[in-house]
Amino acid sequence: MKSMKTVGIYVLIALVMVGFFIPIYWMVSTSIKELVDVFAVPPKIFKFDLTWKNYTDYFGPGSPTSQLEQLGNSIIVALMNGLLATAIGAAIAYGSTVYDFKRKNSYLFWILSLRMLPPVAFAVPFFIFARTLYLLDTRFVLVLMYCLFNVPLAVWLLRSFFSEIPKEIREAALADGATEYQIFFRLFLPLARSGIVVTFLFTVIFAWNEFLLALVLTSRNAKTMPVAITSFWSTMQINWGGFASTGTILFIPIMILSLVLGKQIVRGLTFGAVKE
Amino acid sequence: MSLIDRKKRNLFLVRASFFAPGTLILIGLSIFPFLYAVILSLFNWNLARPQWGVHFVSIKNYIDLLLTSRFRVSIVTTFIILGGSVCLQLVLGIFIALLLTNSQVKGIRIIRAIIILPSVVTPVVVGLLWLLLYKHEFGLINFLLTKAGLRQINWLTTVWGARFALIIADTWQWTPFVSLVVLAGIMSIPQSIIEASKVDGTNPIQYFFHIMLPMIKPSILVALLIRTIDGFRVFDKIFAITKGGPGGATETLSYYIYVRGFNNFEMGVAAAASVFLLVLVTIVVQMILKVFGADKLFVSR
Repeated sequence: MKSMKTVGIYVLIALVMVGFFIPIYWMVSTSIKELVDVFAVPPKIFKFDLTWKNYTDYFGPGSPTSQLEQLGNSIIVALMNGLLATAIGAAIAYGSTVYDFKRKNSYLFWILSLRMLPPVAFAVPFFIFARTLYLLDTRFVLVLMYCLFNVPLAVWLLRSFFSEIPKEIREAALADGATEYQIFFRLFLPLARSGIVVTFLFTVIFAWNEFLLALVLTSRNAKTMPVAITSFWSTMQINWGGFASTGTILFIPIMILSLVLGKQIVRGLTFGAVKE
Repeated sequence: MSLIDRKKRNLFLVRASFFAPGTLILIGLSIFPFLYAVILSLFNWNLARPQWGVHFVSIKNYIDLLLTSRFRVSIVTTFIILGGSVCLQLVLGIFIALLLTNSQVKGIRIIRAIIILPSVVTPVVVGLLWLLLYKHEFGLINFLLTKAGLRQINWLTTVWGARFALIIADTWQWTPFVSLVVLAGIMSIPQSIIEASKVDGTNPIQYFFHIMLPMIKPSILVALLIRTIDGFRVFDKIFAITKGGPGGATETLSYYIYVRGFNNFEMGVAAAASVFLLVLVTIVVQMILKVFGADKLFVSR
């Protein structure tokens, strides 16, 4: 009796995993299929000829339809914003962890509330600001604007990591005459090294995936991949190969990062609220 | 200044230096644009028609919006899609979390690694992916439906088909996230309580409703809050799958703002609608927190 229930559960779990994995597999496999096989009815799931055409067409350096520039934009914006947001977030997280001040709760709650805001509500002011400062269609404007949701993420994530550092360490250092900066740079940052890496990776992931602000604020020069991928869909037809290869390229780094993050994933996606 | 005062001031400056740069940037990115949007909403400014000039019209934009049925409909649509997605995600998420509770610890790592993937894929890619699956002619879903002997569904050309298409795509992406959050909550139930309930002879159903559910309430609340807040922001998938269609069936308030602001370039109107959206989100979040009795949720370290 009991083992039947266990088998049943395992079957269900397997079904669930397949269900969540199939669309992704579909996209990746479509990117390496010949166009003919993509449209095959019944669909060819495992047996098909391999081709790298979609990648050489859209990511090959010499190809006229190459998206290497957009890929570069995505990488640069994601990495730079990750660094910026993590750095700013670390400073605020440190300050709010070790110091107390009036209205600290309100301050922290305000920072958290920034995550609640729909980006579209800020798209209009951001667009006008960027336009006025001639910053439209630059990578810099994205690196700056993404701080709106990445700095709160960094602050709250790093707070949850910093709070795991015992108070005594800081007190001992203070008694030894260390300055705040020394404690921050030489003590907290190294101790929370893995937490900082986790935070950095999450800010990178969110910046990498961001679509709306990139859509509104960029056009030709600073276009990022999420925006570029929508150009494969027109009213007439869908460029399956282009979409699948671009989507896969967008997906693979995230997959690698999420494997690296392992069980910290839940922590990151809930802004540090839920730990494993 | 005395030595003590100077030391105090230096200490204050040092401490403030941790907060100053970041807080300034955040204020510049949030409060400042918000105030600007509020002021902008009182003006009549069309970027595509500069010859009309910019005029102060006070609350005309707000009144116009309230009188526009498309705006009102977009709010209803927002709640329809939001409600459908969140409910489905919560129910499925809790179910899956329960499934995973009984597994061995070793398997969990691999399961978690695979199952979280939908939640980290670029939302716009998820949207286009499901577009692929829904497209009437070669869609995989319709193929499977016919294989199962059912009728094909016109996903993207009917009002409710499109709405469900969105709800399903969103559910597919975020249910894993919900299940992992709830699972974390379930795993944190102290072993002693599990033992005690076994000794007392509680059957699984009683256990679930009277013991487990209350204990994982915080986790469910976190998932509910995050998904609700994100529900208001759904844009990427709508842009990818339906572009607000057919006929505005999937045009949520977020998408409506995009249309007024970046298709029509009516800056003042879009700003007014944005203010509406922000107020709406704040109210809904406060309501949820009140219902769960979690207004005082945040305690300092």
